[in-house]
Amino acid sequence: MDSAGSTGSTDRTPRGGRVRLLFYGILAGLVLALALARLATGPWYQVYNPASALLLEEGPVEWEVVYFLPHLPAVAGEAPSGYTVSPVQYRALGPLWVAGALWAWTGSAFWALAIVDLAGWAIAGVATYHLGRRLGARDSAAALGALLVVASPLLASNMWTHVLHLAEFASLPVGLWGTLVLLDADDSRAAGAASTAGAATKRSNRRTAWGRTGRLALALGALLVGLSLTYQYQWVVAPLAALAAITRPAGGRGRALVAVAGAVGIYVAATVAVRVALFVAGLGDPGSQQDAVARPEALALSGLSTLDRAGLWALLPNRGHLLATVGLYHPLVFVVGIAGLGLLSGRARLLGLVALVGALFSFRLYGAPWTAMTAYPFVYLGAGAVCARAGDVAAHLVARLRDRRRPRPPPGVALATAAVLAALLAATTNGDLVGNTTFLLQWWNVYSPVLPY
Amino acid sequence: MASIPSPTAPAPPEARDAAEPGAGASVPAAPPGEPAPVPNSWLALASGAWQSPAALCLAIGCVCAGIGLAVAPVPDIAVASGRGLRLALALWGGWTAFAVITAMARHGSAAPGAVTPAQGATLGRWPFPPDWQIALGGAALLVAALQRSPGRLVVNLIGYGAAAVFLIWIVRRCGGADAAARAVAVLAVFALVPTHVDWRTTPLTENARAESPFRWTVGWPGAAWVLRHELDLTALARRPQSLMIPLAVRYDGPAQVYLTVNGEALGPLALVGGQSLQARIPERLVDGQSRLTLDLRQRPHDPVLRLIAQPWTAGATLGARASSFYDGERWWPGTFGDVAGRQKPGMYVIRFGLDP
Repeated sequence: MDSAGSTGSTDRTPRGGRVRLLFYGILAGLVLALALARLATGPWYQVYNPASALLLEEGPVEWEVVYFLPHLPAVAGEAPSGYTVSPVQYRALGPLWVAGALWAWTGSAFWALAIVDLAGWAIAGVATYHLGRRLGARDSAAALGALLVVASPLLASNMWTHVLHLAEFASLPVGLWGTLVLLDADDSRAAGAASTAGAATKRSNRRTAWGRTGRLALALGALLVGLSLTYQYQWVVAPLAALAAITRPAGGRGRALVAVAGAVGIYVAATVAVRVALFVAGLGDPGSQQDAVARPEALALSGLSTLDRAGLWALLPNRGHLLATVGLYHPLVFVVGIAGLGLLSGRARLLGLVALVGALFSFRLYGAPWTAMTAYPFVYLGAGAVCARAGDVAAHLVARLRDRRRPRPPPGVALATAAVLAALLAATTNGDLVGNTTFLLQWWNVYSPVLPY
Repeated sequence: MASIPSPTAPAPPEARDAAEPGAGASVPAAPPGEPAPVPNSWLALASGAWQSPAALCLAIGCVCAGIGLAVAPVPDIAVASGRGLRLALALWGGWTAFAVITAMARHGSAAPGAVTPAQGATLGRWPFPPDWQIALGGAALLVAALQRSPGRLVVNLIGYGAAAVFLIWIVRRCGGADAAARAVAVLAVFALVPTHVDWRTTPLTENARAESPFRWTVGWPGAAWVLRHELDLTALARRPQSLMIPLAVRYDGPAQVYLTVNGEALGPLALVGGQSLQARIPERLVDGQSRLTLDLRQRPHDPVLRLIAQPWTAGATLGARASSFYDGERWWPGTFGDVAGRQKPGMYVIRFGLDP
């Protein structure tokens, strides 16, 4: 799958397109296989806490599906008088809308929600692949990273819960990829404008530059709004966008930073507009579900309120948070993933490390496994890079063993070795498929301990 | 597979023929001076249908509607037509979505500063209006369809608008303007079809269903029956102090479930809210023990009082051996699905707690 060109460039030949399409098919097939296998071996949540599971149209779900079921009729029917959009539904309004429409198409709420989760699972893999390519990873490294994301506990754990978490978690690599695409496109437009700026006046150049800034802010703002309707990753992507802006290879860092700030302003304004629209339509009073989920801004404010009493140390994550995070990925996967960041570009290393630190702080505020794994695209891309490099080393060794004077790597050895290593990494967190539920139970017990039964 | 000429790479020879209108089949060249032979109309029709699947999907939908009408116990033309139309639209949407994904895969978008692909690609014989016009048209139709329900309209506009903006941007960038137009057309159809239904009833959840393969109900078919669940205490860091057993259905009848722990009778479990049975587990019965054995008996016999069982036992400390039942004559592993009258591998759903 490696590109014909340099690292990061795309093979735009028909063969390259067919290979990419085949890869998308492999990701989708892997998603289906892992999801359907869990119906036989046991969905993660139902194995972890069977007493809190339920049935929806004879399909297994988690009890929190009740937050979303009353809102399917809001899409496919006249909303009942008591229907409102509280934070738990607002942050999933995008996937909820898709699920409601699918319910009207299929007549099955269970399969409507399942299709949304399955699609989200596959999109997470595809988006991680493209994010990896955008960060300068080779085809094989990005592809292996995507496969590891698909096999990750973050996504497997929430299948057959029907709380739209898979669709929500997929929005992170999509948002990161979109941010980098927008910044890089602005970069190239700025470079193009600079190369043809000889005859233009200074004022005209400034107008053009600020026009580009405005368009970039609008696009990034729309991206943040989209992220707020598909979970809450705008709080992660916005700081990383600022970091990517000030570390961009070309100039115009200040202008890019202004664009990011403008994007945040546009996001706030658009969010207010959406909430006003919901209020005007009679949907805005959150009612009893106001606190059904923890909101990042509320958690951050409550954390700051403890500053006086407990001091700054109370806000910082501690060794326990770090060890728990390592365990949630699996120690081997985490170590390989962090080491692999060193094989990616400087931009990927910086963004990945900052995302990891941010994840630790998030975990400190809200102790859920998915919060601790907020940096998951970077960790798995790093692991993919290590597998790809190990494959290269193996191919080189085999070539030298066969002919010391003119070693020629045999075809397929690198990819096969890398694939085997990636499969071994994936196996560390998928033991439940063969009856070993130790990791599964440890993973979910980080969220809320449940005694074995 | 639909031929999707790439705007950035030269089309292979076989694709050039397919790109010519109406030339899906190879037509032998006429000798000089002779009139051109008439192309095989069925082949041309099939090739045209392949590249423009709308007619084919409509045909399939009509056929399926007809079949549905023929086999339905009570024929209803409106229902059958609706289902056939929905099937046709779903097939067209899936076909078009696959063509769009194929176009995106061919163009890709990973290089920093990649330029939007040329706008010349087509995904079929029929050109579509610009993507933004289709998106606005879809929104206008949504408003027209849902204007009497502001709440439903706002929710649908928010979802449709966010999806349309994102779809247009990403597909246009990765697949070209034509692909984006087709993608947003699929989205518009996807959003508009549900506007003709009015489903106000919230789908309901259940604790269990009698013969569900995922969570079934279990009871005591006879007075002598005993349900047993065992726990390997050596696998626990802390010993349980209480247990809670959810009921399959709400119960407020006369029957009670009596608990025996490691051979010691502890009396009836407390019925809490008609929805669960709860009890304390005395420390003396778990301290120093390697196994906790719970036996559940029902007195008086009442088939309405039922517990929940599930097939997945990998999380139980004793796996598939965790639960068993006694039918008055011998012990059996797993559970008994008394509605079907047969043994079902699985375990009873019980939660242990630390709060006494």
